[in-house]
Amino acid sequence: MTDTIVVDELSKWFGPKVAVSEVTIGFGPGVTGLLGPNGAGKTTLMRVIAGLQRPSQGKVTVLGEDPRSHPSVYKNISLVPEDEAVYERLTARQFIELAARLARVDDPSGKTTAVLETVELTGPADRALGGYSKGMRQRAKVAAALVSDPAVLLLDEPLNGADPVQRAQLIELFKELGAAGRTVLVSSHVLAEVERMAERVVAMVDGRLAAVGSVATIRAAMTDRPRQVFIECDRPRILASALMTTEGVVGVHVAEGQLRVEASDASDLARRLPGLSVDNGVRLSRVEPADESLESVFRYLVEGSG
Amino acid sequence: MTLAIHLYRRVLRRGRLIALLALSSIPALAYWLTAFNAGPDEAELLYSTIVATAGFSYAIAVLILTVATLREERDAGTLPYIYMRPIARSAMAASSIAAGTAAALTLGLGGWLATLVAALAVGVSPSVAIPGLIQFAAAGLGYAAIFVPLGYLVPRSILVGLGYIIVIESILAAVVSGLAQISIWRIALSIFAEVTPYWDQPNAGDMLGPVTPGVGGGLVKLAVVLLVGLATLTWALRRRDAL
Amino acid sequence: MTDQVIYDRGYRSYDGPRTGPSGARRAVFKDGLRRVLGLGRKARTKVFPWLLISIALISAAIFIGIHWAIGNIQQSLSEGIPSYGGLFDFYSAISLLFIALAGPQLLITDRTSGALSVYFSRPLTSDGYLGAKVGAFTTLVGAIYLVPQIVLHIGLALISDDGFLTYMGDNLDILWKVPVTALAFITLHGAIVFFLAAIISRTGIAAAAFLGTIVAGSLIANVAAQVGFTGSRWFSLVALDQHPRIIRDYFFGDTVQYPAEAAGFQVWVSALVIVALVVVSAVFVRQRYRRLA
Repeated sequence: MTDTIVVDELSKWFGPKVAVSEVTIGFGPGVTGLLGPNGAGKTTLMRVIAGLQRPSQGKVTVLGEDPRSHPSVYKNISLVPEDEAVYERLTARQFIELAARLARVDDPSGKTTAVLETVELTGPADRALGGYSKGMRQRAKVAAALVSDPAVLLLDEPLNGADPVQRAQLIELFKELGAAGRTVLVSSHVLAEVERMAERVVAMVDGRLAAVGSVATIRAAMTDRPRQVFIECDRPRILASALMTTEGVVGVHVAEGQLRVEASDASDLARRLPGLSVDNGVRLSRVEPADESLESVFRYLVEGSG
Repeated sequence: MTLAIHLYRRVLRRGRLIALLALSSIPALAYWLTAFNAGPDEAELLYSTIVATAGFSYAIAVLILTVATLREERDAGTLPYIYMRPIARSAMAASSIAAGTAAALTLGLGGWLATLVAALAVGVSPSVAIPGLIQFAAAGLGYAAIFVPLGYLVPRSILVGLGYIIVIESILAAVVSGLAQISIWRIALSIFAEVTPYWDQPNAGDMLGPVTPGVGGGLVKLAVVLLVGLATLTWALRRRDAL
Repeated sequence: MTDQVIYDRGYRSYDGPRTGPSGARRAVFKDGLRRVLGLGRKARTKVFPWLLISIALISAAIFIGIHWAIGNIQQSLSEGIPSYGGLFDFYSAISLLFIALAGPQLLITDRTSGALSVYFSRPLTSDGYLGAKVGAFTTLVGAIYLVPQIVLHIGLALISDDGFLTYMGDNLDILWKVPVTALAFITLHGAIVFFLAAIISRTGIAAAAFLGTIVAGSLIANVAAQVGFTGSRWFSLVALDQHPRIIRDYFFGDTVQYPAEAAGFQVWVSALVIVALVVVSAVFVRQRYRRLA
């Protein structure tokens, strides 16, 4: 299948700061998660794809056109920006209808009513957006993006501010949109959410691509290597002995009242640790993954692919 | 059209409109106070002088209003909702300048109406004040054409605009003939001077300086200013980062 | 695993040097200078302030050039070519624009960015904060007024037929007249711009309001003088920008007759107006920031 979004040797810098560096990738129909820590370049990449910013080098096409030189392609592209900003004085209905009219949608009122139902904002639709909660604003933004029935949907941290129920509903919505053949690009720094939504994940670190693949592939790569966990407790040697006999623990290092534990399955260790502590009369004061940050995960990935 | 209406409504918020209408009404107040005790002939001529000189308060009001047309969208983070639309950048630029112009004309209408009321209050015929609308309208159009792109392109656009009005238009254009010819205020004044039968050449003419009164010339210059503003904003929308 | 963190760190003390309230004030002062001049910031933030400073300096150079072209400073002065007093007027629009830039930047940005709560969580009182801001403002605007005067003074001394040192010796009074005049300008404009910056939340609007206040005051005073109703002489004091110029003229000789002078007010009234404005502004701004702290 032809890629809907084609990014070719794209770099974007702001003065001395390189936000995106030599990224070449394509996105096609379905949901793709754009994953990376804060500052990875996800938002910048999205903005360049959306045509809001100009590439410093390389090029981007969406549906075969560069949006900056062919604005007509915006009929089929929508963006849900990361910013919470909306028109505070407009009601949700007015905001979405404005988006519909600017996108030259037939029957803006009818479409507005339909998307309001989709995001479950029909009730408060005639209240000013200034009085909305974060989650409601986010849904209003999603509705404004959907009203033009775009083939390409760019969602920058769309679940920010949403409560768990709203998150679940939005995730289902994005999956449906992807299943219907739209190209949905969702950025997030939360792996678990991306895992639920996306069939394919693109990981970015420091403006570069770190990994591309299905969620399963990336997950597997993460569990290939032992995980390190820091533990502080009142009886480190007692706990160390107990851990050494625990399945999945590869190594234990004791120093200055702290344990550094290497485990092949950190989740399993996390499940067993409370029981081990109670059984051995150990009081835990700190349990922290030493290498669980997204950055170290991607570092593993980069080292693995290098 | 939808875009122009949206930007117009956004720029003309009630609180801001009231404050800027007050600023635009300063010429009316100045006229009323100076013409109060003047004879009828003197009062008729005073109108053009007051509009020519005190009218700079209207220029400042238009500046504050029109630089905000697109700049506020960007500052508020709502520019993507406008930018990412299947609208040619030239059409977007035209809509933005149209919105700014409409806002400036709304202010101008208010300022001019105040001068009409002042004229009636001092007992002068309304026909004295009617040509004043041309000054407000022409200046509003000219300033919108430069201040809307200025607001989009330049940080501290109000200060830069104030620098233009105070340093270039008020001070330098009074001594440098070339600058006077391209001063928006004087271009508008040249049209007003030709149209009004009550032009006070010794006083109002001072402000006009070396610029010759003339409707045709004034309109051509305004058209050029408009085209330059449009071209600049179109270029900026195409070539500069929107965020 | 990413969410499984238990923290029991306890309080961790800082053992490095502590500069205390004076250090905090110094930091606010330095930040104010850097912010207005665009130092340590993007190049485009430097353009406007440094352009204004350059024009002010060029004004002094122009004056020196004029005096040099005439060839005799005493002669040029007697022919009415302006010197120290006139230089204040020559770039007055530039200095007003600089003040319109500096005042709002110093006060408004901290309020609207939420930085005030960070400042007041430090050993810094609202008075200390405002003192540092006033210090930064006085330094910046003082430089705009004084540096071109210094350039002019040195330039005239260099081109003087009497020699550098003789000129300097003969014009010792300049060394106090210029700073006192500059102080009159700084305090009047500072009082107005700080008052407006304390109540307006947008820097551009505050700048326009400051310039509008100056212009509107002159307009009202002139109109009142023309109309001449009962009590109109008191309206002559509303032309706020005239008061430092009246003080300047007291030292350097009359240039024009300002509305207050035409209405019969003496120079001490102008000094009183400036002092009154400073007091009112200081009290208001101080109260406002005490509520914000």
